[in-house]
Amino acid sequence: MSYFRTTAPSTADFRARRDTTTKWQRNQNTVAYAASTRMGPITHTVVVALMVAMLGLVYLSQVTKSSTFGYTMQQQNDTLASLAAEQQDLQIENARLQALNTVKDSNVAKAMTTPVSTASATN
Amino acid sequence: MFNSASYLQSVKRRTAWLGWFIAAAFLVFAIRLFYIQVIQHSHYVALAKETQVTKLTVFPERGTILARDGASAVVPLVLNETVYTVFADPHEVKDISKVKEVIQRVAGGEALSNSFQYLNDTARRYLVLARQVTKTQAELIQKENLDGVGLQKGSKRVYPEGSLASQLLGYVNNDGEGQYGLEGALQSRLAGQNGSLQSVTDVRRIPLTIGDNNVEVPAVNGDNLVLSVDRNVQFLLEQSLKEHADKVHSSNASALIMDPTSGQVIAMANYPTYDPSSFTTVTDYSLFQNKVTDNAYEAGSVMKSLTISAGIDTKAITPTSTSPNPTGCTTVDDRTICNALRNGVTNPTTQQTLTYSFNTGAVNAVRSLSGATTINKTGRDKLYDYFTNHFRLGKLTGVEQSGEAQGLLYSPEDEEGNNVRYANMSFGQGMTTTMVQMVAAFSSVINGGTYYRPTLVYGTQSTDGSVQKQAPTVVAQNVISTDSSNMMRDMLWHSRYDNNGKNVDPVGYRIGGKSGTAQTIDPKTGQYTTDKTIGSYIGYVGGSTPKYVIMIRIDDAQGGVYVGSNMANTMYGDTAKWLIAYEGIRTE
Repeated sequence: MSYFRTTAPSTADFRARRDTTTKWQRNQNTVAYAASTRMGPITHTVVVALMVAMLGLVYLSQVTKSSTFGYTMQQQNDTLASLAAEQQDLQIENARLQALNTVKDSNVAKAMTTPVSTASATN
Repeated sequence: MFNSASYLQSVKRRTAWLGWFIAAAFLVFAIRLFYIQVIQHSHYVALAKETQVTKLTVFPERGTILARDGASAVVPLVLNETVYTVFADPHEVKDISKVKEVIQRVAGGEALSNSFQYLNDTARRYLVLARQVTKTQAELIQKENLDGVGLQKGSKRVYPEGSLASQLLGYVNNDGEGQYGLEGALQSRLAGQNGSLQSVTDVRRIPLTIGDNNVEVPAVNGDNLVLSVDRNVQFLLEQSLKEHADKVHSSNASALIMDPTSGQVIAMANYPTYDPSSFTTVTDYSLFQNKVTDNAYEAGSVMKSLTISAGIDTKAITPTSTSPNPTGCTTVDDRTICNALRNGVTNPTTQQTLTYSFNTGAVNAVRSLSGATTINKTGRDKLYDYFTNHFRLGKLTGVEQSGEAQGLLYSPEDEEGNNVRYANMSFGQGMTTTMVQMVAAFSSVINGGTYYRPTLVYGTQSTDGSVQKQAPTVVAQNVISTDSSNMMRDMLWHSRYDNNGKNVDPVGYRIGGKSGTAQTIDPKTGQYTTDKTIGSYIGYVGGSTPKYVIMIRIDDAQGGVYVGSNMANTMYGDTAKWLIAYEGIRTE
């Protein structure tokens, strides 16, 4: 429940509690503020309905937001998978280029000549 | 009239009835809702989950297989490639001719042209149009935005080194199961474990983050295995095997190189071979077999090295003890056993028996084990004990190969395990072993007496590229004593040196070995024949200590009984020299 202050409180707004309370206790306010304007039952209902609707909207926006994370994650996962596949392809290509048969059949290897002598200098 | 008391009474009564009726209806609704929402709560929650929640299997990535490349580097032998299956939903396909044209143009040989005829059949909802298309091809197909055509991701094994070590590796079938070789033997280690994803999904089965029942169990990828195989040695061995086998028109040849101090296999080759990337085209299924491990055969005279080791270790014989051989033949019970070299040495020493491969000398070694001039149960028991319990013949080695053969030895307790049988067994006939069993046993003879479990796995590679080594497994120690082992090493060195080693082997290195020629049984007659023989050679290479044990086997060599073993001997020498240079083995 809400209270609205429409004008500055007058001294009349502050009723002495001493008059109405049967027991006075320590640390208890001696006066209570009472708003001069009160909401009617229709305003109450509308306000409550608006608050419920607001809460509903907040809930829906949160749910939608969190579900869109699912799509973002899916996209990220797809990108990751695509990059992993690309990395795999490159690894395979790299391995094929370094394969012994490839090296053996390469132009460099074909251009090699057999040395006349393989004897090394000995001291 | 409307104000009459009876009318008002009637209205009141009817209103009351209506009120009761509505109350009853609401009560029914309330009861029904209570039944649905409270009593059948779990049932409807389950139904809702079934519709909204999707359980997806997360497939692990199969482990790669790498080989060593020299001392420290590793290179891949088997990798995974992402491939796609192109499928169509004929019900959704709008432009059939365009689909056909694009798939044929892009997928080429991977397209399943026979499927195109069913594109008109709208009753079908799934039709495979092409298999194993590459990522680039898949992207091209995707760009065409073909209605009713989709792509399904998968994986296939690729072999950058081609057919290198194919029988050793095996292959992976279309169901993702390893077949033959290492892929078959280590299926569970390589395959990994499936993961699962339980999540609320949208209509496209894309997981959403809402819901409190989402469960994700990540898949465990298979181990990336680093083999002890050195790809350079493997390459050399395969080339050499082909070259030497072709020279003698051999139908089959196999070779194995092992580190005798750890049991690690450095190379394991077979010829002929096949390309594992196109295993579906192989028609001769025997090509899938790794004959080094799954073919038990009568090893022949290479077995003498083990027979004499048993004799030496039991001190029944010494390298210099002699055995009579006046005729080149000896009689065991009702059978006569002869040497290949009939007019050889009349009273050979044990060393000469090994060097010149006298069958009679090997038989005499069993007689010595018997402690008598004839073979008896004591001698048979001793030989059987050494063969099975010390050298572990007739037992699986546990090498990581699918379908390893056990071999067959007859116990002295069996009727078949008689004196003649054991006389034959002393020189490798009448019993079967595999090459890997022979090499593992031979290694224990020359390494000081330790039997290591033969292994192809050097370790596993982590995601950061580091390699966790696998410790060698010692199966048995004191297979023979250290003294006996030293003695056998010397004897085997002499055996080679005194034959042709002195002429062909590099000076300063210890290269020892023993040849063998095994007769095979003619399937038509059931008798041993020399028409088809198995020639082999087993030996060690090293400086002051043996570094490698090598065994070569050449089947059905053409041109004579001993052509196969001679060629195996030649190849052994060539391989030994190459390994000395490759490894930089120092002289003694």
